[in-house]
Amino acid sequence: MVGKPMASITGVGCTKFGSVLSTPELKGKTFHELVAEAAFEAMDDASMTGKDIDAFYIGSMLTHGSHVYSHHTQLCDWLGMQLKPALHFATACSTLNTGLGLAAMSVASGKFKSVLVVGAETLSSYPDDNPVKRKAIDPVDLWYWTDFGVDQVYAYHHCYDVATAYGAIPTLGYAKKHGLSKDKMDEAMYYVHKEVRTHSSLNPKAFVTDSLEAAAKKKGFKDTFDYWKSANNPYFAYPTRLLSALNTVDGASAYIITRAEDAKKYHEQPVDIIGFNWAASNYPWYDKDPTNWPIDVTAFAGAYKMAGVTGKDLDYLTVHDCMQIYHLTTSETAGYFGKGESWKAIKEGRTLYNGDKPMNTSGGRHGKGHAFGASPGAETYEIVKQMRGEAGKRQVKKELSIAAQHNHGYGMHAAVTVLKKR
Amino acid sequence: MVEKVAEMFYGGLAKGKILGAKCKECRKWTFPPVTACRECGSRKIEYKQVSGEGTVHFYSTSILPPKKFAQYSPYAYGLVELKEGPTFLTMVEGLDASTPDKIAAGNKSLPLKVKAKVSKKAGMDVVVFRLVK
Repeated sequence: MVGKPMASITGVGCTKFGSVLSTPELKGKTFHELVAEAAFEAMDDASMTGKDIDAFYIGSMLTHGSHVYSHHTQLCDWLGMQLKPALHFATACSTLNTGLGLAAMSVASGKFKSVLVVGAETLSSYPDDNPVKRKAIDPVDLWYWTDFGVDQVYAYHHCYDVATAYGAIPTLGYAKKHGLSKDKMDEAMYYVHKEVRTHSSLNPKAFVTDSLEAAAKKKGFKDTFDYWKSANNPYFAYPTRLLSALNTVDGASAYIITRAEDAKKYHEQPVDIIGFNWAASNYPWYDKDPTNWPIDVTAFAGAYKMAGVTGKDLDYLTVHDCMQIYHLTTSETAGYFGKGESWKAIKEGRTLYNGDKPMNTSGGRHGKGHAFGASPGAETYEIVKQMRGEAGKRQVKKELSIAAQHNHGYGMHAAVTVLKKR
Repeated sequence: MVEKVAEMFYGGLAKGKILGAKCKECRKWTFPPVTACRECGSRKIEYKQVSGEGTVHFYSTSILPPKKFAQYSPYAYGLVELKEGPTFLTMVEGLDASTPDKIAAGNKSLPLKVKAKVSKKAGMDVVVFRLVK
């Protein structure tokens, strides 16, 4: 039996994802302004102001880009929430997924009637001792700081290589487990990327807005698979190609959580939180089968149990796709597809917005872009918009009742939340 | 009192000893050692040398390694299952990571037996593995 609503999402907001150095919608904006932009959209969506909301939680991971800590004190007045209860929290790249459960517990406890959760990240650049002058971040430095999220006593110093651990080895593992040749596996990842680009090209708030066809044409390729296999798309960590990896971006996302019984006061189409779970693991994240992650198994099992659902009940699934191999492995762990079945379903177009098993219709961490702690909020935004029928050109064709959102938070944390259309 | 586990581990490496932690309750090994058993959470653990024997299951290399290890790039970073049970990832010597084709061929030959050794990488003594001939 499907569980009862623990709390409801009554407002969502999300900025364009891109770069505050160059993306027109973001250019010149501070971290604080990104936070306010996403939060105000969510407040307007729920017909609330900062005054009406009991508390706020702000999620952000990388201080090196924001030059901010004690985010809650620095942002309270910018949000119109001076003197309200507030805190900063982080579970790295799963932060705003974790915020769903955190805020749901807060309102379910009776302490608060409503909570704003907002996440923001600036990864392109940092304020250079001047809030309106920014200095670009070198990608090598960005990853040096990001890797503070992985075991710093042992793993990092033992020749650590995230792209191999998070991308290459799980991909090699999937191919081996399911008997896919190197060419077949490469083709499978091409179809995943095609899905990613189809979705992001239909999402005006995405970072990558050109389709795979347009990108190929720009480089002189008629055939997108020829483009995929070309020198334009080298191996980042064999067999993972560059286009299967994340794009780091700047951006912010937000949502408002209210008590389930009050939700209709704020929005006529609330989305209910019916289950969630989290699991943390130090490195390594898997044993000799790199497709089977205990944190994901645990997080899905706990969230499904609370929600009273199984993977077969889902109408929609978001998986964390810093590397696109997780469209395959995590969708199978989630029970959305049978073991070894996902790559065929993706090739057949079933995970597209107009397919019968839609996934990641925002464009995910490559297409929509990866603003670390704020990223999961963009996926919650997507699910809420899809459930309300407000997703525009990428509106899912099938009726959505139950969705699951999965995110990984570097080091590694898994957060799974199950959402239900009211 | 919590033992200085990290100092014990790295100090051990300087003397050629590779330490893990064995749980006195569930008898499972944790590697590298921390302050509790990774399997059952017990604090009743003893710090002991591991055999250094293991099996490498997968490996690859990336074009953007951390700056600390860029000097060794391309290097084989492999998933090793220790004889004692835990898995660990580090550099594996004897596997060819020079090109994607070599990595594809190398992975086809796996799993293979490996043996741990202490090696200086970027100024620190760390554990790496080498293929057992």
